[in-house]
Amino acid sequence: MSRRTLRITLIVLSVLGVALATYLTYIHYANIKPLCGRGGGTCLKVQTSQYSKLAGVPVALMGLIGYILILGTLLAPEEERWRFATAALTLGGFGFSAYLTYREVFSLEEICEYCVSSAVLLTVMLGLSSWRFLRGDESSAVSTPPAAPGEHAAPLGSPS
Amino acid sequence: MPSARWNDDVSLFSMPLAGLEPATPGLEGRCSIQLSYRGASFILAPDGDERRPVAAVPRRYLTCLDRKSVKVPPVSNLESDEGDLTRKQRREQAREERKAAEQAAAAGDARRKRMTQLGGAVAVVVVAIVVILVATGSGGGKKTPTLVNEKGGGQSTEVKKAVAEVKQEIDGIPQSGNVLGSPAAPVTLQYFGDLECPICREFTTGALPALIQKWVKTGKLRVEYRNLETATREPEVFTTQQTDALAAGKQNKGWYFIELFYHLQGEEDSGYVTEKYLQGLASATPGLNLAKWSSDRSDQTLQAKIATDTQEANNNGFTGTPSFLIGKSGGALKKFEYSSLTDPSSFNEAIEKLLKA
Repeated sequence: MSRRTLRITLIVLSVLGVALATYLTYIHYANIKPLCGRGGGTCLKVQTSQYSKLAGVPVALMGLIGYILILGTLLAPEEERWRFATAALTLGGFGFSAYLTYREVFSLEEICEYCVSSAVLLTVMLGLSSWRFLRGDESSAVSTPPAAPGEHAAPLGSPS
Repeated sequence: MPSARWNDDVSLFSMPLAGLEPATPGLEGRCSIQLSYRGASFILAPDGDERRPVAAVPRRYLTCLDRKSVKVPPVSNLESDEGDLTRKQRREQAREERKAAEQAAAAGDARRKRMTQLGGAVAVVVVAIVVILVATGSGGGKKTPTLVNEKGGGQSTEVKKAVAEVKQEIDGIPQSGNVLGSPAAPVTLQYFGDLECPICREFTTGALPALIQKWVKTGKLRVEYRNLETATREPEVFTTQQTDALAAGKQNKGWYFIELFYHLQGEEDSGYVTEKYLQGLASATPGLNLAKWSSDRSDQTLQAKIATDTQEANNNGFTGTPSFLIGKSGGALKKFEYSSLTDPSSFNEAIEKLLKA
């Protein structure tokens, strides 16, 4: 997979995550029932449970902020530090999603389709972003001269 | 290796300075190849067999060279060029190999550095998740509600507060069995609930008070509580708690019991609904005759009522609570899909529509 494809895939996934988290944040603050299977009851139960907030902050809002930050790092210049930021943020999102899934399965014994979708998204994103970070910028690993001012070290679209 | 160049008449043999080839220890005093490298140049006869010096060359060098003549194979100019080219290529190749090795080493270092960074991030995330798990524990929610004041006996502050809220909400409203509101109210809302269901609590303390205030107290709506097991894990506990509410209903105090249960609801699955708890709740229910309530709890018709409610919920496809049926009183009721459990707007619209119909 080329760097360009990898980056675009991650951008698409994070946009999906932003959309998902935006919807969940909206229904949280609008106090409306989410549109999901079995009449939305299970999702509502999860979304209104005691685990739907952490330190008073809705987890849906935390997810939205997280996805926006990930998207921000993906739209930043193709540099090592931003690739690390993407990987670290998706790692944090994956860990938090794992915690919420644990709560759903073992504490609430209910599964919310939106939460599962987010967990799947973050799992895929973690794999891709870790790979992207670990393989680095292979074309300029050692001898590539520094980028000129205003020029990306490895412009989006350049072959890997 | 010394270079040699020939022409037709004489041969010019030149030695480069030491350095390109390793210096050789001296032989026979000062006579050595090393000495011959000191930039010595001499001209040889064209036959090549007799190495006769014909140009001015330091004597001592010539002596050495005469005695240790070096046979240089005749080579053409072209071969010489190819030799130079090969050497350049070898140097270039060696340089490229060294460069590649440096790049590989640097790439390895960079990869190790990235692995370390990612490993550090993993450690931070693991620690954060463990902290969150410990902090939230079994949920951090309300545990078993305290019904009795542990210091001086009597009702706890929590119960007193809940009783005051419930009385303010429904005091003065007609109750009959599991129904709240005037029997003549034109609209009926059937509320399928589980007393341990936290979402039912959200509705009961969220949108319902506004509906009671606007529609029930004005005699336009009657709310009928029906039973559907969802949140309560043990069927026996569900049957007992719901029967107890219906038993209070036999004294027309059912909605006091229901409202109090939701107001004081404990943490789901914490096992707080015990016999002692139910007795304490009944004691807190305003105006309830405890002796009659105790005997009505074993009324089999109440358990049959719960079974009927469950069957009707299944017939309507209800799998969660709260679920609702709404319609004209005495007529066919239809499923009602709410948009919020805390905002009564969607309920208000449905009731207004039925009142206008």
